[in-house]
Amino acid sequence: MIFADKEEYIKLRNEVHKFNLKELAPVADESDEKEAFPVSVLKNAGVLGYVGPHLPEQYGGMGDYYAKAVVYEENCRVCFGYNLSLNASDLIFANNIARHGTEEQRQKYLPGVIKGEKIGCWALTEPDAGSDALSIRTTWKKDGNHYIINGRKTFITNAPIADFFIVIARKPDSIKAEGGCAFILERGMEGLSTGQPFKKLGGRCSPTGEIVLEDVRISKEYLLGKEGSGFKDMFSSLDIERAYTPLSSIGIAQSCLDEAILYAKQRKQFGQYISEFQLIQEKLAVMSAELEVARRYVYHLIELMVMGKRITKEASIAKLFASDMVNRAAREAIQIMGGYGYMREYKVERYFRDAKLLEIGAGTSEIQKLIIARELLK
Amino acid sequence: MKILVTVKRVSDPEAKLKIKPDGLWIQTEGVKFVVNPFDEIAVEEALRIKEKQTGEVVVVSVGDKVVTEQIRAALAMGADRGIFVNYAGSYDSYDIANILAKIVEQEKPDIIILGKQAVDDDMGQAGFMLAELLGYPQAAFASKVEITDDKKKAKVTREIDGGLEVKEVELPCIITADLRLNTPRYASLPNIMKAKQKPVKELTVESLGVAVKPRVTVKKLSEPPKRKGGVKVESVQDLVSKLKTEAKVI
Repeated sequence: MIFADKEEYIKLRNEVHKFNLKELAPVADESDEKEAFPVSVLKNAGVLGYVGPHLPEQYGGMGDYYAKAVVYEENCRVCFGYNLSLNASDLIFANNIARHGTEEQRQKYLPGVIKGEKIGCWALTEPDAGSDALSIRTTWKKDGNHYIINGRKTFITNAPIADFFIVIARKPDSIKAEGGCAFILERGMEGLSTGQPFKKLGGRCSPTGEIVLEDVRISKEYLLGKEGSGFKDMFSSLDIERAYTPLSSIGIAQSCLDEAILYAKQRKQFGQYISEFQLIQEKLAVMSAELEVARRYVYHLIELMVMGKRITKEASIAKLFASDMVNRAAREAIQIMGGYGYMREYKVERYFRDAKLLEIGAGTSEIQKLIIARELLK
Repeated sequence: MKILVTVKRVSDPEAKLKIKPDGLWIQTEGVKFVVNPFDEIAVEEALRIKEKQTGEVVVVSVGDKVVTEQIRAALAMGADRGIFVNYAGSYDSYDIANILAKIVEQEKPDIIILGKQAVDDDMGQAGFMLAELLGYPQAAFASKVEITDDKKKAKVTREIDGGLEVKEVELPCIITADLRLNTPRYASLPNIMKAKQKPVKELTVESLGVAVKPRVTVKKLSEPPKRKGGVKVESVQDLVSKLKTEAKVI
């Protein structure tokens, strides 16, 4: 039986949805409008164990990757931006600490993140290095027992609000993956500054911004993993993160479908409910068919990831198909709702804006196609 | 301190319900079922008392197999164990009170908390009947519950017309939960996972020695009348006169 059909995960899904409807939904529109992260929701979620359930028990998690999947999808159903920030903190930042950190580093950084009291972020992208990850120009050099880091990171989820940062840098003149290092930095360190949140199309309550590193001098306790293993560690964690990303599409698409059905059953034109028109029914049927097929494939992907299988191709297939699917679903939901769907007052307007990022972030659709083809043609 | 709480499986108050063709009950297909909201408040109160006093919270539900879902929901909130009385037939409030009285005889709880009523049939009688059957003191419609320091009494505040009434009842006692008693917690992830392992004892009405014979039966359900549209009045005088003569509110 697939995890999502098991009694405890159904119960978890219902409970997280109940929590999100009461605590997150009422602030979602306002957070989007003000481009402000709903910190208090994160703290309440932390108390209930809804943050970092996949992380090890000794730091406050449950070691349960399935629970993380359920929470992830349910969060995206209500507020994609909230989950985007949460994900950068408890999945990308914290998972890298859990996998590659020392015992001291785990004890120092994980409990706060799991409680929802601290926020982490993970920084690779630079103005001139996106999909081409190895071309980063942020550098480190050794100074006795210390490291000195210089560079600039951009498009970093949570940069404006994070307490902790993982920054990927390379040794000057090193080639390809050699000389890559990951460092853990903390807000307040001399030389580290973050910019104002960028104005964005979607995921607006998740602050995105720059990190500027000017001669940040840190001791070796802040090195994550081994010297030179930065890129290797990063790629080894990537599969876990990539398994979860398509769940965003599932969550948003579910809400698009729910809103469209609700509207179609209430809206009357030409003396009948628009849900009685076959052209509307066709849209709903296709949305549902694509959503359910994507959903089951993504659950399958999560199970492969938990089993420790190599999921390079499968994760790309899921990401490509699901992000395509959610953009169609959001477009159709607006189409069904017509002028009302186009208005900010109705939630599908936000879902439409949020969906676009899924074709770009965490590997563009084009990159996913290249990965799939590369795997096929090996 | 041992606290017994009842949970009833009811249709989701948010669900849009349809009446069955025979007119005797609602169509249940595709309807979501939840713990009766007043019972959820009762569970929350029991947990809060337990957290202050230590002890055990036992949840009981009567019905066919599906009601174990609601027992598990209460266990996921933090209750310790469940009692499932397997009975698939129809019953009335008095039957339920009889079944509960037998459970109380077996379990000997210090406090029994029920929701003040179930939101499906709105009978609101089981608590009173149970108190009568057991000869226990009762404090219905509680909006605040405090246990005295000697743990022998419960001080229960009730919202009454125009104010509050405070009752003191000796334990063991029956309390029924009103809406403003508390706000039920969300089930935490660790508690949801633990709920699966918690024991749920299955009993039958026969084993409890109760002969279920409903004295009250449902004869007919009907939809509430459709709301009629309002009327526009020409002037304030018109409005005042209609309020006086037709609505008779002033």
